[in-house]
Amino acid sequence: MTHWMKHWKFISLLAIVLLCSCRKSLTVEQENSTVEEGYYQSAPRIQQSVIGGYVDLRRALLANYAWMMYGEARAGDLKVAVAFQQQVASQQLTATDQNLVQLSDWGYFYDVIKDANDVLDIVEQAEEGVLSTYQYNVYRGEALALKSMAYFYLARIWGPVPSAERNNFGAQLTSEEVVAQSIVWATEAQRLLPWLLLNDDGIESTALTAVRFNKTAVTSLLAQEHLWLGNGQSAYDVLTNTFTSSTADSLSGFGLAIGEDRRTEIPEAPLSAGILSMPLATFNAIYPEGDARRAGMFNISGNSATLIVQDASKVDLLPVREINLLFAEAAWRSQRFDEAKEWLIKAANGATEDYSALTEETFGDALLLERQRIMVGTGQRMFDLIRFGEVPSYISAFTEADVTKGAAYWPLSASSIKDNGWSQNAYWAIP
Amino acid sequence: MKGVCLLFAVLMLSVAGIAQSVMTGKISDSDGKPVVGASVGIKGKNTGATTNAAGSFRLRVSVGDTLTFSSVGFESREIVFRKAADLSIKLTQENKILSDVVVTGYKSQVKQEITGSVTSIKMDKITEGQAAESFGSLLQGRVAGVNVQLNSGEPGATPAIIIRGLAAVSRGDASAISEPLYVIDGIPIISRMSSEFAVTSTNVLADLNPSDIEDVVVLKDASAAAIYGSRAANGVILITTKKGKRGKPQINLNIRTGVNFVPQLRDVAGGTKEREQVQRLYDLYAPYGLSMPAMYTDVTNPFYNNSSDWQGYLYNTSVTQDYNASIRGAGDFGQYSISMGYMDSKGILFNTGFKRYSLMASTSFNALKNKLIINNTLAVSRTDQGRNPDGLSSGYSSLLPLPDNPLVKGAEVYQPGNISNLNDRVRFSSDATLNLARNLSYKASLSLEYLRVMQDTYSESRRTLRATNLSATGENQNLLFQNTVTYTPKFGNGHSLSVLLGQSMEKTEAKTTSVNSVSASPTLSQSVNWPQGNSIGSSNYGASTLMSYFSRLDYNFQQKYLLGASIRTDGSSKFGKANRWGVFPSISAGWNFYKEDIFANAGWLTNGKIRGSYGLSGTTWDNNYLALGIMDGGSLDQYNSLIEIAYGGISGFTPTWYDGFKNDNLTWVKTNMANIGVDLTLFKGKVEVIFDAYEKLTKGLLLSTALPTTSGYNEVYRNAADVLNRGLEFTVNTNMRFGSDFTWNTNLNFAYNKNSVIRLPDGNADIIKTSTSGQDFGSIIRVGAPLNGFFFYESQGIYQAEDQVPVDPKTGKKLLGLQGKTLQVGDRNFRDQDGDYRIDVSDRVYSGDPNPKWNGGWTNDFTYKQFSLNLVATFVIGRDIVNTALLDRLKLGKAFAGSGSLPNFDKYSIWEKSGDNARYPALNPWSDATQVINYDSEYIEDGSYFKIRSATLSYTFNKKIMQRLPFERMRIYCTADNLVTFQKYSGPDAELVTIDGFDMSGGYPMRRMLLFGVSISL
Repeated sequence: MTHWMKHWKFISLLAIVLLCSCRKSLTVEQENSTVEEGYYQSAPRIQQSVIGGYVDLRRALLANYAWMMYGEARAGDLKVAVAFQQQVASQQLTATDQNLVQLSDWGYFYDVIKDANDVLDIVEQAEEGVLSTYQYNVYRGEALALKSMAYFYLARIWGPVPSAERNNFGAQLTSEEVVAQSIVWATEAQRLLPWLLLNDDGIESTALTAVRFNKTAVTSLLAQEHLWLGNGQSAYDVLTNTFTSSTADSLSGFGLAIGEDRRTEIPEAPLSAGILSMPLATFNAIYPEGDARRAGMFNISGNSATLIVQDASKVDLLPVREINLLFAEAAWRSQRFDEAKEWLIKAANGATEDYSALTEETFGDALLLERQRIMVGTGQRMFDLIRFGEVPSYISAFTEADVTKGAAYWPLSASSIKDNGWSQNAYWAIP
Repeated sequence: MKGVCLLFAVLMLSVAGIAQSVMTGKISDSDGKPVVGASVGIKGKNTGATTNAAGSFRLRVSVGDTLTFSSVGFESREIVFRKAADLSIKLTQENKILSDVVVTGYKSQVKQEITGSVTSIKMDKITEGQAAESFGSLLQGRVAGVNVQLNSGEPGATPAIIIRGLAAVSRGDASAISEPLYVIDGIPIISRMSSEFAVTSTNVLADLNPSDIEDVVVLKDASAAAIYGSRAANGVILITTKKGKRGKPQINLNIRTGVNFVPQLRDVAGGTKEREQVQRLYDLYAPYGLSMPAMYTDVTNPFYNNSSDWQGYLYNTSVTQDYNASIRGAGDFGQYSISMGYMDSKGILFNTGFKRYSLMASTSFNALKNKLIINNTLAVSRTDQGRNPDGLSSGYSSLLPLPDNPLVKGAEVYQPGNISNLNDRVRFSSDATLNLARNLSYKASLSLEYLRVMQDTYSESRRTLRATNLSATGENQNLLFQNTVTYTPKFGNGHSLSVLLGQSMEKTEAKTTSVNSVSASPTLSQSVNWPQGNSIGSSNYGASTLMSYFSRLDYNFQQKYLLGASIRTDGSSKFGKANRWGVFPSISAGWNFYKEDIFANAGWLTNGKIRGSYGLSGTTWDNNYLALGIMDGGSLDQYNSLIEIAYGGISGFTPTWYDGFKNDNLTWVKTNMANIGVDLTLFKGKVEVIFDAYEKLTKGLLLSTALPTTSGYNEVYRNAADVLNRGLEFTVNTNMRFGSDFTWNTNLNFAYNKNSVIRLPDGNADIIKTSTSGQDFGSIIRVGAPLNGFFFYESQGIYQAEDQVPVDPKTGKKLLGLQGKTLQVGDRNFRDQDGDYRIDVSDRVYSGDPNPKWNGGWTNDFTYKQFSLNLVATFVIGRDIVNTALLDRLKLGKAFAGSGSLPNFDKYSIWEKSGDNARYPALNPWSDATQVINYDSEYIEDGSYFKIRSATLSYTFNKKIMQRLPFERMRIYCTADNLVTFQKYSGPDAELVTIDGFDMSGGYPMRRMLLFGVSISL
């Protein structure tokens, strides 16, 4: 014991040394990379997370010209100048082409959903004073709109899909359940989003508004979703309550921005000249001679008509020109036939047909045709055919029975259905 | 012994006489033979003497002085000088087995008291006669259960050292190796760099000069290693460097030069034979209208009858030089040791080689009457490895002229350029031990290690007139501070206790910077410019900290009953806060049963111990920040889509683009290891037998596992795989003496290890190893099977007749070959495992195990008078390897003619016509679906081998035989390295394969070396 007593000074010094090797040293700060924790603590950084959602949506819809492949390219209206489009147009969607495998993978859309859910958390958890009320509303609104749009695409492309929401993660939802959910989010987003977005200087910016969700775009989305479920009245209510004569100056569509990236170019230029075209015969059948829109929308050269790219900096998804069509459809579906005709005539400015003579029986076909003409290039065609129940009439590869089995939807890639108890629908499961 | 006691009694009884006198004395061994070169000193004084050839010495001493006597191989003695009389001192030879002190974790232990599985190798003798780049390759075949595999013969290459079986998994290539922890003089060192910071390809451990190593201790089981906690699961290798010994300064010089001979290279048909073979292939298979290139048909072509020996041109005999010098000494003040080394090993392949410059200085000071001991060590080294850029090939067609042919002189046909890999290491450590009281000491040590690695690459292409420059630098540093308190009381009737308490704190940092450029024309400069468009510069930084508290307790009763326990807790910054700390306990016990009364009369039993241990140790992984959830601004995804992160003029940054998401639950890989062993020494040390049996279960190896795509992530890292290694180890040492002049010592060790995978993620799904770019490695990890097994198509020979191709009875269609080929006579007959009448990926099966089942070594030392002969052999039994070297050469592309040399087809059994009892299918270069495919089980061969690694013949001169020798001792020797290999394998060298069993000999064959050297002690 005396040994110990003799060295008490030393022993206490040693004890201090041992205890001083502070446990904080086990936390190594990142010097050249970013950790999620503690990152989103300012408005510009929170905006980055919102932008991340758009970036992922852009990848989901532009990689392999997906927005076209899910739409006009599959319906056979437009040709995309890539080899695998032949297989898409001939409905050979399970071919072993790597591009088709990617197109049949739903992963990118779920990336958007995850981004949106992260943004909702980030916005909610932002400290007092970091976000202004305007920013809070816009970021939350954009996240809800992105999520609503991603789910709406999933339901239209694949029909039933799993939920990626915290409360029912992995639950198998029917197409109707998915869209019903999407309507809830879009409805809230519609309330939150402004007509025009402010740029960093606090000035209303039309350029910014055109590539981000805004009140016009989210209202169009909401109307589309209501119409998908057959709720004409709800769509009509949304449209009439939102768009009034006083808002006409504030309208803005929504498209995906294709900007110069600081690191790399987009590997595919979705809107390079000549990429989207149709054979002259098809073109003439859709837009007969005399249709005033022919020259404005297409360049005719030789045997084909090439879609004119109005603005190569963005891919339009929810253009303003759809609003009249949506009014027409909502009015028609909610038993307001005369009003529907008025909206259609307004929308179809430049058509050779006289739509004033339409009957309730012929209205549907006329509306579908006008949607085909006006919405060309936005990727809506296939969804229109499904919504109008006209897939077998326009796609010869499918019979009514095929469509009942799920032919109009896309098959699922192996990675989409791995380890989640999901399986291919009855049509695409054919060996 | 009796004589010594008598002498001591005489000294004690005598009365002090003259104050100081010159005394003469003689030192002899127990047989009465003089001990030459023994040191005699006086404690506390600076005088000393050395015995001459007759064993005599002269020294001025005073009564009351304490004389010290020491000599290598003998136990040191101290005698108080009482009476002025001539002394006759007998020194007893060291009983190595019983008195050996072995360095174990944070302390030293008498060998007899060790309860773990520990093997100690004295490096002195080994390094004196062998020149090696790193000590790793010298350990080959020396320690049971340690598999040292040299994957390449290239100077500076890194050998794989695996202790007690592989326990590492990855989805990619076989670079995941369960690497041991290396500790030099008590300080864990940087032994490798993670792939992101590995700038050079040189063996990081090659900068430690093997000649500076005193001994190497391998801690194999958990009880020995667990004190090193989180890094000990793969075993620990403790290296002790040479220190000065008491006596007069020892100056050593070791000068050697070796000649490296080119071993057997690839078989090349050459000249006319190659032309005939090409002709034959054209005759047999060329499609209509395709004729041979003019090179083969134009007799006026000056090279028509050429037969260039490309291998002979590029591989040449080379020279290795290795020089070591040291001065060491010790006294009451402490010790000093300074050593220098220079090695220049030229490679046998053009433009390759390895150089090492090393300097090490170590000093110890005793102060406060030996209460305070301060050690300082500074080690500085540089290694310089030269390599060729990838373009250099020794496989050109033998019809092409060699560059020294007068007709083409000046035209460089191979890609000029070079790669220089430079590693500089500075290691400084300082420690102070304070002996606080009897049996109680405190030690604090601080060490700083700095390792700079640099690579400069310059290569140019004469054809495209483009030159590539790459310059990369990496800096690694390690700062360690550790404190230990040791208390070793002895009490009662033979109770002996040793308690160690310690703490350590470590920070490791790594940084790289690299720039490269491709310039449009060869600038012939090695500076990296910044051209427009295609320059890439990058940098990276990573850091981790480790904090540990540890304790070890050893207790024994009369050295008969031994008990040991250790516990360590490690906290690492690499882990999530939830699982930051890991606790690694171990317990062990031993029984020196030979001390029991019943063995009292068993003269044949010199030593006998049974020991057992169980413990837990850990490993971590390279990625410093895996648990944190790193945000990454976009990368290629599984479809190679690149997401760009700017949108509408604003940059996006979301947690989606992680390396996997933040996972607070990531934790230590833990290894449970149980070991039982027996140590026996028989017949007074003539025979020593060591046996160990172990079970090592490694749990929670890190693997990425797939997530449902609906989660928004592709994969996440989890502690997901378990691997079990079970094995037996045997060591037999014999020390025989025949007459007084001839001795024969042997060491035979062999180990059996059985490896199997116990658990895998995703419901034990098979892992077929593929690279990130989708390249299939042909290996599989499957539950119940050994790691990295071959996943191949099962060959059933060759179709000799059309009707041998199976027909589907349902459809009437014939079996389709790979890539939908219609099978023909001469094609490979693969078994259709799933019976779908189509050979495809689903027909691949587990077809071989690349993990060695048995491996070991056999060392023989013969000495006859001054001659000695040392033979080292190593062997591996029960291992499958793939003859990739042959496979790659039989795989002929459509443009095979002129593109490379051909092997001599006559030597291989290749199918040409019906009835050929061939091993390899028809070599049709124009076939749409080639039949020579990578994963054909026919190329799997038995990889067992027995290799005589080295043979050293030496002769030692000393003053006894040569009175006029100007040195104390001189030894001349000749060593033959990589002497001969006995193998079944049809390729060049069964040893040069990757850990997952693919032949690497195409890379760099292992030279044979004949080394001549002289070692001088002044």
